[in-house]
Amino acid sequence: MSAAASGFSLKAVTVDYGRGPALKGLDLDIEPGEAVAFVGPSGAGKTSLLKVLTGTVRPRSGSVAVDGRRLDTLSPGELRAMRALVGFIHQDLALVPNVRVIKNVLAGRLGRLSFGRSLQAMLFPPRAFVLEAHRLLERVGIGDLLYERTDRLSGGQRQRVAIARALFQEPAALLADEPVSSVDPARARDVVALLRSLAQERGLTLCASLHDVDLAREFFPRLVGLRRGAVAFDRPADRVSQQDFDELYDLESDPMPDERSVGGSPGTRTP
Amino acid sequence: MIGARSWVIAAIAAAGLWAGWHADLDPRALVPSAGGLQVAREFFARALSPALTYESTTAVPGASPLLVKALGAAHQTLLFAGAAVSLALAIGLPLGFLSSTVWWEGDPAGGEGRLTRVLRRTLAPLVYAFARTLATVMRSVHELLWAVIFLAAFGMSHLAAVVAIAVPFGGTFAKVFSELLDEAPRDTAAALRAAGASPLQVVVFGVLPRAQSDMTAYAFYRFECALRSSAVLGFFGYPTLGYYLAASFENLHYGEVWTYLYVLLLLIAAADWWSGTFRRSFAA
Repeated sequence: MSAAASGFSLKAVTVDYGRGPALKGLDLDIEPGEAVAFVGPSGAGKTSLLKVLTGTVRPRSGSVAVDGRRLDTLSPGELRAMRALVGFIHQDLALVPNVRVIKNVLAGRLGRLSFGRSLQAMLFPPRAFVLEAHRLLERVGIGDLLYERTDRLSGGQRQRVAIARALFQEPAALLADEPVSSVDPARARDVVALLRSLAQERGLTLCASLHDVDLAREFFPRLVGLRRGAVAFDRPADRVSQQDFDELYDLESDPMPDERSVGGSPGTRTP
Repeated sequence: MIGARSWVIAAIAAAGLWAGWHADLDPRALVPSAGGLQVAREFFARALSPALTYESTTAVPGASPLLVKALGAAHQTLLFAGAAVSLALAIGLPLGFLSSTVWWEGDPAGGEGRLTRVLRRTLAPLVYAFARTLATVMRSVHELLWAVIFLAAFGMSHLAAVVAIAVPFGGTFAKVFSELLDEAPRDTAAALRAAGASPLQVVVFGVLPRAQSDMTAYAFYRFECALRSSAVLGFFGYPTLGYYLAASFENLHYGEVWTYLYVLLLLIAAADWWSGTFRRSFAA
């Protein structure tokens, strides 16, 4: 288990994929152990913000610091070690469909293993890894699916595999990009509740982007409203009014291009 | 109103007619001669009554029964094909990997060392170009042509036949595998990179598994092709189905020809069944 939760500090962060800025001079501080929801319309910069926090998108200007260390000063090895501390649950889950569930879970640990050790762990997983993967799957409610082929699982079960993979990473922070987009509305609440309780019991920092403002308000003590790549509001959930949300989603003036078509990872095709 | 699509179809049809005219494709050539029609009739008449014993009146003493001989030939065909595909995979997997761009995509956000980046920008394109050229040379010559060359060079060695199949198959594997790797979804790769995986780990555990099932399916398909090629190499004198098939055909023993054809059909069908069962049950 990780020793301490991670804190993030963003100063004047601008991200630009070449078709106009996705984030515009964004300032944000997230304390270790906090639970923060990013809300806002499509294209507001939620996914870009999460990717900046994991160190997979490099800002054009401004600085990102994780646990007080600026990412642009890290060596490649240090950057990878930082990424290994941040568990990320992708919107499209990004699992390997044609392997057993356990393989997907074990892949979470790659960032902490040498290539030789990772080859060994993936081909002949040591007993301790198998037990730990099983325990995590049990915790997220699908312990009996350890050896099932991943593509035989339902959307909700796959999402739990993605959560287990992020936990097997032994992260200090958990980031989730639209965690309810791949499950039916009835299950959405369960998923957000699960993420929240996992973060609480493990003392992890939790950041999630959410479309559903009611879920965000119910489960997250702090809400950050994003609009056109900038922070529209950043307040405790009980002090965010309905008018704040209405203004956030009022896209009448100057609509932005869809976020995923600009900043989405190039590999989101399905076979 | 004639749309763009109609023009394309008309152009393709015109090109086909033009090519047929210049290649001297005369439909009248397909009208068989009386003798040819007779041969064809006799040949197809035996389609439903393949021989179960030798048709030759002068039985060779000590020869094994026809069906035993056919199964033996099938066994030899299988051995040649299996050896050829194994060798082709040993060539095609590394060559296909080097012919793809997956191993030099890099990490735009800085998760790779300076040496890695310099090598990726200088050496990688050269290796890539060399691998692609080699694969193209290997597959631009058909296995029968390779067989002619190797037979001239090495004589009637069994290895010559296996290598003759393995070389063009290896080149084809390299091309198809490289494209499957390049087209494989990159979502898992991005996820592993975000979890701190190194560039090598990203390729091995994030990209390869996403292409693996298509690569397996294609390898099985090429095994089928290798069975056919291995049978045909019998025409050069190798003890595969083609050898006995050609001999029976020359002796006008059409029943035996059909026996060998049906054995080949069974072999291909069995390979197809094996491929399907294996791929359905396989999970890494």
